[in-house]
Formats: sequence, C-alpha cells, structure tokens
Amino acid sequence: MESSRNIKVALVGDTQVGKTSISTRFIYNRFDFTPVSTTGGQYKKKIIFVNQNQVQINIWDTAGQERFRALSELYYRSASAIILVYDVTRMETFLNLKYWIGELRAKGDKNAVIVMVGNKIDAAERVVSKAQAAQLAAEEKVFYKEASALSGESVCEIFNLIVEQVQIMQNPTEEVVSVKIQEQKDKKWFACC
Amino acid sequence: MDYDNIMDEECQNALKERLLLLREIKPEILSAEGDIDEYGFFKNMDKDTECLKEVFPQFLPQEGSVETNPELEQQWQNILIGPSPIKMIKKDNKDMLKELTRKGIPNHYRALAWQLLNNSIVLYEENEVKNQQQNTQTTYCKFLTQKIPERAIIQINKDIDRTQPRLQFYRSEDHLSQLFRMLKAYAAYDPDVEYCQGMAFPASILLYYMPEAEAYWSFSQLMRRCSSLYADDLRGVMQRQKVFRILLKEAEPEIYNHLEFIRLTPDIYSTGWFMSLFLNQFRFNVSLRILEQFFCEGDKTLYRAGIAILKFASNFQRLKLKYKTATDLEYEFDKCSKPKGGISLLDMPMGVAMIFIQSSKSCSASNSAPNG
Repeated sequence: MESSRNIKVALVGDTQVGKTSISTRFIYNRFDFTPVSTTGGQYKKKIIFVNQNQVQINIWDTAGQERFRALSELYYRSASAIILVYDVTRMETFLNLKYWIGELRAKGDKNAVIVMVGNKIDAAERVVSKAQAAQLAAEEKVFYKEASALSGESVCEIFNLIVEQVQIMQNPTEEVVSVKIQEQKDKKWFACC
Repeated sequence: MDYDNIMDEECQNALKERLLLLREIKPEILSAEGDIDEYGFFKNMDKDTECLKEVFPQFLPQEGSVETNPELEQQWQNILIGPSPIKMIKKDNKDMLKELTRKGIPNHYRALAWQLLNNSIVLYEENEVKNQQQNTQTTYCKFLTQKIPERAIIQINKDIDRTQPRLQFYRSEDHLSQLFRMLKAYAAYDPDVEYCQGMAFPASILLYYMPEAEAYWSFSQLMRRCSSLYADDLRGVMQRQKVFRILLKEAEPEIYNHLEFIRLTPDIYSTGWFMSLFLNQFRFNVSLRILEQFFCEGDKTLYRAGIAILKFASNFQRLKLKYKTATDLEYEFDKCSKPKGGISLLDMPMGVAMIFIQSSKSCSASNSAPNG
C-alpha cells in the first residue's frame, strides 16, 4: 500500500552558521558560494522515496539574528523535526545551543525530533570538538550529527535520521526498518547525496 | 570625500578583518568577473527566473518601457536639474510628484529623484556640504566615529557580502566597506533600532545609485517611514501583517479564503516581503518601482505589492493548460489538482508557490503551514 507522508522540518540556529546552505545542499545538491542572508522564513520542499514510499520533506529555513527568535518560534512550534545548526569554527554558536534547546523544549512540539548539527567540518580551523558536542547532545538528549554543506558530507544522513526518527515517533508500535533515502534517477530534481 | 579612516578603531578593525577573511576564504565573493545585464547583475545566477523564462515567457515583465519615455524624461529633468529645481516635497508639489513617480523614473535620474522623494536633499546639504565648506566635521562623519555595540558590528559585518552578491558592484571591497559604514552610521544615530537583518537591502540599493553620504541621508529618511519594521520586537512587521490580512480579505476575498482555509496566514509568508521592502521578490526593475513608490506613498505600496503577488499566483491556473512540456517546474504545477478558490502561484518566490501546490494537493496543510 502506498503511503504518503509529510514531514515538517525547521532549521534554526545562530546567524551565518549555514542553515540556508544545508537546505540548499539537501534540496538541490549544490552549494551557493554567494549566499543572501535570510529574513523571515523561507519554505523549500523535496519529495524523497523511503522504502518505496513517497515522503515529502517541508523545510522552513529561518533568520538567525537574535531579533528574529520570537519569529522563528512560528516555524518550529509545529515542526516534527528541528535541525539546530552551529558552526564548528565559532565557539559562540556552540555555546548558544543550550539556550536554543531550552527554547525548543519550551515552545516546540514535545515529540519533535531535535538534531544538533555541527556545520562547516570541511574548514581547517575547527574549534568545537566532536567529543564536546557529543557530550552536550547526550546531556540534552538530542541527536547529533556533523556535516559540511560545502562538501555535501553527511547532509543526507541528517535527513535519513529525521525520517527514521519521525517514523518511530509517529508509529511507536510498528517496526521501523532502517531508513535509506532512495534516489529517483530519472527526475533530476530528486538528486541528492 | 574619503571616509576610509574615519570610523572608530573597533569598527575599522572589524571591517578589515572581515575583508581579509573574504579575500582568503571566500574569494568568489570578491570576484567581479562574469556577464552582467543592463542593471549590473550577473546573468544566469537565478535558477528560478531562468526556469520561468523557459516555461512562461509572457509572464516576465517587459523591460525598459517606462524608463526610456522621452516625455517623462523631460519632466523629471525640469524638476531635478532645471533652472529652479525642486529640493523638497511640500504640500503643493506632493501630488504632482506622486503621479510622476507612478508613471516611472528614468534610470539615470533615480539618484536625484530618490533623494527628493525621501526629502533628504536639504538634510544632506545642511549636514554635509555646509560643514565641509566650513571645515567642520560633518554629521555623517560624527556618526562614523561614534561607538556602536559589538553585536551590531558583528551582524553588519556578516551581512555586507550577503546582501547583493548578484550585483557586480558589491563584489568590491570598497563598496562593501561603504555599505558597512552606512549601516554603522545609522546604528550610531538610532540606538533603538541599531541594525537588523533586512535593513541592508534598501541600504544597498540606495548606495548602488548614489554616493555614500547622500545614500546615508536618504536611508536615514527612509527609516523614518519604516524603522518599526526593524525595531527590537519587529512590531512594525506584525502590525503591517495584520493590516495586510484585512486588506487582502477586502480586495481578494477568494484568495483570502483559500489562504485562511489552508491556514497560511501573512505572518508566515510575508515577513521577508516587508522586511526587504520587496527588493528580493521581483525582477529588479519592478523592485525599483515598488521601492520608489514606497518613498513617495509609504505603506500602501507594500500592501499593493503583496496583493499583486498573490493575484499573479492565482492567475496561473488558466495558464497551466497551455504548456505540456515536462520541466521541473511544470511537474510541480501539474501535480496540483484545482485548488479551492482557483489559486495557484507564479511569478512569486518559488518557495511560497510550492506551499500552495502542496497544500492544494492534500487540501490539508498541517505540515506546510507552521500553524497547522
């Protein structure tokens, strides 16, 4: 039986950590070297196939400046997954994660899958270590991934994880087979990873 | 006048550091090579527009039509550089200027016309020209030397190269520095607003058309109209969204009903529209006309532009039948069954168009609308 699903994902995090770049990489599999800063919320979507089932990923990308935080709430409030991005080359973006997680827990859906993502791991000057981030993720009981929107490394894995975890969350009794997003070769806009 | 070394040390160093970083890590941002169009934009950088061009050529606005009209040219010439040029908007010339602005402003008169419409010509003369003649510090320089909070410096710095990367003009360190200084000076002048993402869009367009200090005064005047959009709690955005919702209901009840039905309210889709004064939503020549009418007429221009976007979108349904070639875009459009109220989108940000398509298919937007 064919089942169609919708997963709403919100991208949040400090300014210039690469929220838009991660969504651009996932949706179009490209990297924009001359990005424009995001104001308000931007919507993008992608249809993927998981175990022959169509799943639509709806991404809401948000602005990072502090002033927009009340506004971001509008987008993550009802999201089934939230990608919380920080920049592994900027310690302050990592230190702000505690604040963000508190906000997401207080105002977001309590069942939302929260994935903490360290972006820009391609950069040489990393200052936030893997161990440090893994520890925070364990303490806060959120998922944790590292990725590079520039090289594309691990970006798809974030979404694999999300699809898998959202399935578990929505159907706790069903057995969920491990998720691997399948490519639709004949439709070029499905190209990912 | 050279403003290069006037800023306070903290800003000076922060800017230097940023430019160095761009040079080393993101050389693409400073590379000015490539084909550009008549307005100075790099060609082929906008995938969505390219896509539209192929599928719906008739939907693209005609270019150059109003800006080359000789009669209009003559009228603006008289006003701006004639024997007795107008320097200020007053009661007796307000309506005439409004009418003329609606007809259009020839591109090469924009710098002067915009300063007139923002009523910044006299301010510039009083604060800059006079002080320079008397060899005293100009007001712009005074703001440049003032300190601003570090968070503002950091945010401005992060945005200067992310505002108009498609304009060749902003692939230069000098012009990025000018944009930095303008925004910094405004942050010093108005500590309540300081700097907010979004402000850089109108600032960058003013600076593109006129010299730094003139652009600053024009920007400062523009902010008198709309600084609440960027104030700490973004209250101006929310107020305008409330008004927009009511106006949409009056003007386009069908569209309004459909949007309410799928729970897509203006607070979700229009924040970016208002905060960038629609500068990123249309082709550049259309954006400029919206901006200059906003100078002249204020908020109602923004409401009209928003309603226009939604109307464009709703007209699309009729067009769909004509085109049968399979492209990415059309695949998306084809999938939608006829939505309630006959709404579908075109010539609007593709992102928003997708929401409509998705929601009309399932008739439930629980996952697309954040409020769902």
